[in-house]
Amino acid sequence: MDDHAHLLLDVRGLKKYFPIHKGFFKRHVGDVKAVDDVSFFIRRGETLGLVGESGCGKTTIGRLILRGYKPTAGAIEFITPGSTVDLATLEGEALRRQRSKIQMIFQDPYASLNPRMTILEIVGEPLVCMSDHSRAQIRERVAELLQAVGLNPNYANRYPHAFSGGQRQRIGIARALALNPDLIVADEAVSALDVSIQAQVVNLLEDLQQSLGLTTLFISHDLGVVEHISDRVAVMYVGRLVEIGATDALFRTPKHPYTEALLSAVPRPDPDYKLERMVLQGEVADPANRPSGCAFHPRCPYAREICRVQEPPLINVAPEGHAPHLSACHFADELDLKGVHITPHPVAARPAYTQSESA
Amino acid sequence: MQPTLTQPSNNGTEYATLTAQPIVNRSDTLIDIHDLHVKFRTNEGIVHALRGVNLQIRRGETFGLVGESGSGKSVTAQAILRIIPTSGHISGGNILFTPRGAEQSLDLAQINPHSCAMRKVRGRDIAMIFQEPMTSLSPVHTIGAQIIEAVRLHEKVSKKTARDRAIDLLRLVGIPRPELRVDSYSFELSGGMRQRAMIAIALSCDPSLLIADEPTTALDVTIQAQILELLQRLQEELKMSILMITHNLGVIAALAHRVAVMYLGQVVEEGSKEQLFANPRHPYTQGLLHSVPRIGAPKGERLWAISGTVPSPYAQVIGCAFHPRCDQRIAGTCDLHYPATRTVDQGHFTACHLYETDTPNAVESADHG
Repeated sequence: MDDHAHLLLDVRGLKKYFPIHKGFFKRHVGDVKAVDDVSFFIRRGETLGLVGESGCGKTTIGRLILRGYKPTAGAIEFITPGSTVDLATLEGEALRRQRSKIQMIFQDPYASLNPRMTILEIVGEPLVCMSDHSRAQIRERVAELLQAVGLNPNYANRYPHAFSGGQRQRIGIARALALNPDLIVADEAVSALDVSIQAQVVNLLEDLQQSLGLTTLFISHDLGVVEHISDRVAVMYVGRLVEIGATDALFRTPKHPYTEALLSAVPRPDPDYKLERMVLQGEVADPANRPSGCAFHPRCPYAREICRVQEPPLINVAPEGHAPHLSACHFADELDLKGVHITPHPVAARPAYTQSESA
Repeated sequence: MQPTLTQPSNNGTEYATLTAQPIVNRSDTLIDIHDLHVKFRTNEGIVHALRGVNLQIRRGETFGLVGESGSGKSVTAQAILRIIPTSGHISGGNILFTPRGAEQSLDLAQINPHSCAMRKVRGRDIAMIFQEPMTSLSPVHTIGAQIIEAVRLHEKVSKKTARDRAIDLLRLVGIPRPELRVDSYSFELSGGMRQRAMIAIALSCDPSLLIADEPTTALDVTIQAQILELLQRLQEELKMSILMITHNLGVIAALAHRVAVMYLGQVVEEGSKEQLFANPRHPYTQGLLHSVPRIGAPKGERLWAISGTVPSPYAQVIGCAFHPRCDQRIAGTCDLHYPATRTVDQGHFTACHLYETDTPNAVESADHG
């Protein structure tokens, strides 16, 4: 298939169950099915957005790809020119070598940088671990990286406390880029930042993507950021993918009621946007105790009898000749779900764009 | 709809007949904050957290207070309730509060925070809900016990009546099976239900002002939508005022009637929601509105990022606090003089030198500067 020609990551049937133990003998009484039979792929050079509410398993997927967890089942094929490895079964030195090709950007820039290391040590550490660069080479590479993320290379000997939240996140990005990774997993990378700083970091990520051709798995709960930055988007609910498709198709013409509800629930910075939204009743289901059939049926306004009984498969519902758009809903074809229409900014355009900060 | 909450004798219209008042107060103003300054003493130096805040919250309106972290929005709320941490103090200004049914307005800035008078206001006339419901609810008391405590602290009622009131309140905030939930502990509830329980505690004495400090920030979008809808319904039903503190402009657009934008301890712009979103005047407000990634934005639209970062809280600010980040600054003016607050439209004020020539000084801030 042409589609698979440029794959970087091919995840198939990925599962991660966390066992629940109870009682004195730590009897195994059940599992939290954090990720339950998830399949998706990421093409080289694209950004896949992964959205969902807390507890849906999106962070677990990120950690499984980095092999912070060992998957319960499934395959994570990582395809680099000349070799294809299954990260799910890799161990020891072989895994360590693959890890340098996948890097992570963390959510909290205050917790993810060691306060006792200088910026030079933080950004240079991947190089110390994984390459045989000399000290001078590392210093040079760190300076180059700091420049790339918009920080002054002269600050390399400072400690993290001297930097603001946005600058710290840039340091985290520089560290992730140090080894020229093939894949970046950004887990809520801009969620902890204030809006004005968040915009700077989002712009930086976009610039880096263009100049370096990065491939990114962008995990976030913020649909605005995800729409802005992603080429394709996957929506998760209680451990499973419910919809995956090109960003535009998914936001304009969602094919799963959960996606529709998510989109309508986002508060918009537009006073004319009246609450025509459907406010979902109830709470997110418990991954230790998934509802029968479609996990979304207890909250779904369109649910019918079959939804309670039969689990819908994730299948392509795009019209012939269009890019694949997968949805796990029995009525994906019938329902006319409301998406978000492209609207020009309610506020008149600004005269000039200001470029990112130079620290 | 909820018989236990209203005290029909008290309604705002009585204030038309106000007599001897130290400072003239429009009848519909619930809280009038005038030139409020708050300072914190820290090991590194003095932090001037509020640098002359002016705000009026009217009866029955939802007032949105937006700003980034460190802008002083939470400190403003703490100052109103006089719960500023001990390292800080109010160093100037007034907070005139006119409780429902009161003859005179009370200057909360002058009262001893530990006094009886303040304790009467706190929790009864002004209640607050916090961002993180798990850490602000007691883990060792049931939800019911926490509501009953608040009720019995302010009103002489029997335990039985208070418990019935608690159940009514839980029903009012949309908690299913309130007769059972009243005996639950906070850890037995989900995040959204906990936030509802906290709202129930805050409403227990029918406050005239509810301060909501980032009430939905810790919640998922679908739950956030439920809570926002609940707050809107309660505000309309109970005719209370809400001071909504948030960094999320979407939340403001959904709920607020009027909005003030804060930057570095000052209100830089204030106006109705419509004025502020359709026609923002201060460069900071304009920047904020453009830096939010909206869903439904045309493809390829680059985010407009405000350059630089919020200055250190210890920094001495000369001139307009925003001028180092402002792309429309006027050299020789913005970096030297603090801009006075000016009226740019009816009920729409901004503190920016760009509008200096447009209009004469606003009445209420003529002394400011």
